[in-house]
Amino acid sequence: MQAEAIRSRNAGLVVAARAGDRGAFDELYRNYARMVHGILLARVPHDAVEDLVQEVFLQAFRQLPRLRDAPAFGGWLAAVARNRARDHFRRVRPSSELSDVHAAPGNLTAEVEAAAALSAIRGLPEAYRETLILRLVEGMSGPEIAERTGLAHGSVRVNLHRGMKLLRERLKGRSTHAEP
Amino acid sequence: MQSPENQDYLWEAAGPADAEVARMEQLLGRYRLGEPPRPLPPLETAREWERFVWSRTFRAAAFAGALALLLLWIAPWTIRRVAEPGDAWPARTLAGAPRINGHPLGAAGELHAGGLLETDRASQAEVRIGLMGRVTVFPDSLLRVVEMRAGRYRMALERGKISARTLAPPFTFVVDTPGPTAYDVGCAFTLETDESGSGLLRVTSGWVQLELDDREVLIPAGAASLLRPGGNLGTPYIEDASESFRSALARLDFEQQDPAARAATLADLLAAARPRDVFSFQEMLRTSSGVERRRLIDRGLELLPPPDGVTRAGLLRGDESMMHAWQQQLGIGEAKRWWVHWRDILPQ
Repeated sequence: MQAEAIRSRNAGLVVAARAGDRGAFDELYRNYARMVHGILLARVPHDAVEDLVQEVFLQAFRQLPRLRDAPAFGGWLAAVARNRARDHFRRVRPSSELSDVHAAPGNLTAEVEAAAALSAIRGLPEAYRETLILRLVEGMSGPEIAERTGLAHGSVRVNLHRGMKLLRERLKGRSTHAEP
Repeated sequence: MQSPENQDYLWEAAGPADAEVARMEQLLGRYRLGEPPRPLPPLETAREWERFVWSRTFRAAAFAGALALLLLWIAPWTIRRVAEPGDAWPARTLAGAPRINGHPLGAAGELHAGGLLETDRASQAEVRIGLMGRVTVFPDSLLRVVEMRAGRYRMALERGKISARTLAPPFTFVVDTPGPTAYDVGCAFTLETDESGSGLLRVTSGWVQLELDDREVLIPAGAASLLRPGGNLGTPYIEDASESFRSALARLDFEQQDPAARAATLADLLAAARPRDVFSFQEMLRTSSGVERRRLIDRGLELLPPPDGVTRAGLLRGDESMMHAWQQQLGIGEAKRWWVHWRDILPQ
C-alpha cells in the first residue's frame, strides 16, 4: 500500500532525525510543511504564517528527542502547530487583515473574493476549518490529510464534506446579504 | 453543484473536477505555501540556543543545587525515591484489604508496570508516584499501571474511582479509562468510571485535559465533565451549575434528539445558565454552527459582556483571539500556569 509505505518512510525519517540526521529532518520539513502551513493559516493572519511555520519546525527539532512514538510524528507536529498558533495570539494583539475584512458588495476582485472565502472558512467550526484549508488551500487530497495529520480517513472525509456544505451555505448567505 | 461522477473530487483531489471546489482551489491557491518552502535556518543554532539556556539555568541554580545535594545526602530515603522513581510505586492500605496482582497488599507494598491494584467494597489504598504525587484508590476500583518511567506516568482506571494530586509537569501523568483519556495539566482531580465508560471527572485544582479520538477538552478547577460510552466527550460545566442546566447539557451531549427537541433542550440550557456557565457555552462553540451557535453567543453575551474589541460578528465567525479574550472574562486563568498550584499537592 502506498499510504503504508509513506507512513513507514516518514517514521524512518523521524528516527533518523532524532538521531541527529539533518538531511532526514529537511525531508520531514518538505513533507510536512504544507500541513503545518494549513493548520496555522486556519488560525492566524496570513502574513504571519510563513514565519510561524519555521518556528514550529525549529521547536519540533528541539523537542524531537522527546517524541517516543515515531509513527505519531504527524499528529504530534500538528499539535505543536496548533499550540504555536494559540501562543501567537497571547503575544500579538489581534490585527485585522484583508482576509478578515468582509468583502464589499459589487467590489469583488479576485483578491477580495479570496479573502472573503478564507474568512468564511475560518468562521466554520474548528474541526472543519483545518481540513478544508488543507484541501482547498494546500491542495492536499483527503487520504494525504489523514496520513499527515494522523486523523482517521472517516473523520477527514466527514469533515471535508460537511465543511464544504457549510461553506457553500455561508458563501451563498453572504452573496444573498450582499444583494442591494 | 456536485454530480455523482465528481462526488469524490473533494476527497481524491483528482479525476473529474467539481466546478465549485475547483473554483475555490483556484481562488484560495494564492495562500498556498510556496514550493519549495523557504529553507529552515541552521538547525544546529536551535540546539545550541537550548544548550545556552540550559547552561544559564544551571549556573543560576548552582547554589540551590548544592543545597539540594546536601539535603539528599542527609536523607537517604529521598535519594532512593528520587533516583528510582520509575521502578516501582509504593502502595499502602488505607482501609480494608486491597489486592495487588491478586495478592493481599497488606500494610504496604509496591506496584510495578503492568501491575493491578484492586479494592473491594470495604477497602481503599494509596499509591505514591515517586515524589510527584499520590493517587487514592477508592472502594470497588481496579487500577492498572501502564507505564512508569521518569517523565511518563500512565495508569488505567478500568473501573471505580480515584483521586489524584500531582505536581508532575503537564501531560506526564496520564489516566486511561474505558472512554476518554485524562491528561493531568497540574494538579488535583477525581475520576470515576464504570466498565462501560460512564463516569465523571471533577477537577479540584489546576487543569485536566480529556481526549477521545481526535477531540480534546481542557477542564479547569471547579469544573467537571461527564463521561459516557458512545464516543462523545461531555461538555465541561462549572460544578455548582443548576441541576436543570446540567441535565440539559447532558441531553445535548449524549442524546440523539430531533431538531425540535434539541432546540427545546437548548432553550432550557440557556434559561438555566448563569454568567459563570458561559464557560460551557464557550466550549460548545468549538463545534456548534448555525442557529445553535447564534443562540449560544447571544445568550452568552447577555450573561457575560465581552471586553473591548470583541464583537458578536467576530465570535460568530470563530475569531480565536476574540474567543480567547472573552474566555478571559471568566477569570479562570491559563492552563500553562500549572506550577502555581503546587500547594494543592500537600496533604489536606
